[in-house]
Amino acid sequence: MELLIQVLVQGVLFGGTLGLIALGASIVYSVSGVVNFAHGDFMVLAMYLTLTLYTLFGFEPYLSLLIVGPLMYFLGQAVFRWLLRPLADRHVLLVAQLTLGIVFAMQGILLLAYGGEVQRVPSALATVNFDIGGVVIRAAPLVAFVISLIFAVGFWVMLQYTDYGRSVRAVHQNPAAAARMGVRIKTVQYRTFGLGLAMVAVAGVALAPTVPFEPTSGLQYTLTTFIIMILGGMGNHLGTLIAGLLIGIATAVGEVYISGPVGQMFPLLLFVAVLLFRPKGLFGTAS
Amino acid sequence: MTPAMRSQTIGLAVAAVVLAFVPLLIGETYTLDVLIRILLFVGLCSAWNIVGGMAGQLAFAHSLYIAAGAYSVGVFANLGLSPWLGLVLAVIISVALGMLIAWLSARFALPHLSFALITLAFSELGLLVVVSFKFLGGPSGMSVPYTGNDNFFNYEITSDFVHYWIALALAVLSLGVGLVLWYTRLGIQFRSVKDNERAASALGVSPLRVKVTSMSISAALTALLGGAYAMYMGFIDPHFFASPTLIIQIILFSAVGGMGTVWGPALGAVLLVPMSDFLRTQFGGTLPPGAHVVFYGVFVILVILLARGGLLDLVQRLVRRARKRSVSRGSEVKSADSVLASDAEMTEKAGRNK
Repeated sequence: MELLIQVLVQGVLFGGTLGLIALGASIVYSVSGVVNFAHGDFMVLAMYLTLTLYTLFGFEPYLSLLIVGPLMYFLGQAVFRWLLRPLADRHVLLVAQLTLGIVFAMQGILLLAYGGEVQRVPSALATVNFDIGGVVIRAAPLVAFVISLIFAVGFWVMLQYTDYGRSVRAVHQNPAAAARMGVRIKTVQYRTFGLGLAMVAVAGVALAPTVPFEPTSGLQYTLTTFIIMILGGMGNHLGTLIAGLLIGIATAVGEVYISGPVGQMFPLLLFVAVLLFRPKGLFGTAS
Repeated sequence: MTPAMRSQTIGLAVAAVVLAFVPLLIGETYTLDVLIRILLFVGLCSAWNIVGGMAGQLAFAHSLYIAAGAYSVGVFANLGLSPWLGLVLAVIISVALGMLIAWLSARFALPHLSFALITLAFSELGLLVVVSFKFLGGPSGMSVPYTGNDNFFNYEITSDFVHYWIALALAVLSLGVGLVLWYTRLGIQFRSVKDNERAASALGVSPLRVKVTSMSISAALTALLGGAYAMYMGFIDPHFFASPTLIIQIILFSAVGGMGTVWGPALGAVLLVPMSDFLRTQFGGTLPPGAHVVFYGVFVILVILLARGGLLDLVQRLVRRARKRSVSRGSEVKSADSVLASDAEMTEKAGRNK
């Protein structure tokens, strides 16, 4: 029983961060219809930037958020403006293929810059553990979860109560009508892509002290992100967050209770099973 | 047979015959190895194109068919059975899997992106399945037993020449199937579903039939190629044969070459397979590792951004423009082809400026 609770806690903590990563992809999709195969690779980029800031300046990783976050925001805007926007009038799959090209380019750049060895970002919190009623909670994943939670809630608040948030919802629901009401679709899309990358950066920074990474790690996270997005319903942000938690739990359960690659299959199998019953995702709407 | 189809079929046949003589000219060299791999990728890309370029389904599931092909021959060879039978089994498995996936897509009316992502998940699942079976060699892979004897019945081939001819045959088969589909009713149905599924369905084309048929044909060809590739390599590494990476490369080659045509993906393969090889061998030494991957990724991005419809389309446009210039100089009567071509261009433009 204790083990189960331990696993569930681990799963929820990891799942929260996964949810944030997937949320970043979800908002981009809802506003511009873009599915970014390089999503995970951008997160790995953020992790490498965190590592660099640590090795060069001794920045405590979590502090790098203040730099890496905005940096990725502007990078996101640039990428969208120069690479993705020009493809707006073409088949949506072409955009997906471009992002596949970005995957290769990004992995190559990281390989060039940092080499292929597996890296970890050390953190003062690495060895801190809490023991609550027999359940051990490591500090680093907990912090990652809390950060993710804060950003997710912050995003929701922004979505509900700010002008930008309203325009995001408008563009998602009905781009043509939004445009007629004076919403600058282009600007919303640029900002949202930037925001999506910034979210992924935050998740990356938060995760960096807890997981090892190397240049090719991105694709795995991208795949998980997509699974979460589909599971939660494409474009449904809350659904995506919840699906993130579920996948996090499934991953933890798979890791602990079933050893080896079969355990890794567990979230995927769950995904396939759910899809067969609810092809639009658990919370999907016909969008 | 329309003139266009006839000329392309003849062209393919001529090319096949000419290419068949190449190994006799260059012998068993590294170049032959590159050519074999180019041919295999030409086959793989053309096979994928049937479901990806023609029917418009961005399917990552092909890694499953490649794995089925590779592992079937491997297992059969290791059991002392004829790998050719393994190929038959592989085709059966792949077609069954393909039909299932296509049926799921049609039955649940999955939008393109969801379908793509789901097949990507299947692909990853396939890798995990393969890696977790010790019977299939697990994460370290499976080697095909090598006896050093020539035994065609057992697919034991010592000469690279024969591997080359097998690869050539499969590539020609793949292209040939694509060619036939392109100019026949079935292929046009594929393309109509790609362009506008609802409109096609309103006209009486069944998206379910199109998706299932295109996927089955594509899966069968892919399985054969996977098996041939495995027998050529002599070793089946799951991270090559069963991973999403290979199918991503196939898709990118096809996109660069031009997905919407019969020859485009082949062109992409012909260009990019040697390019990545070349970059790796020439610059792998002088430039740090990773440089060639960057170059490769950047190249793909540039082609997608700048060459609408891929490189083949770019070439076709340049040719058309050159023809028009010579026509406007009044030096020749417009041929039916060029009229049709400029018609097509106009319709395309009209469609784009909606």
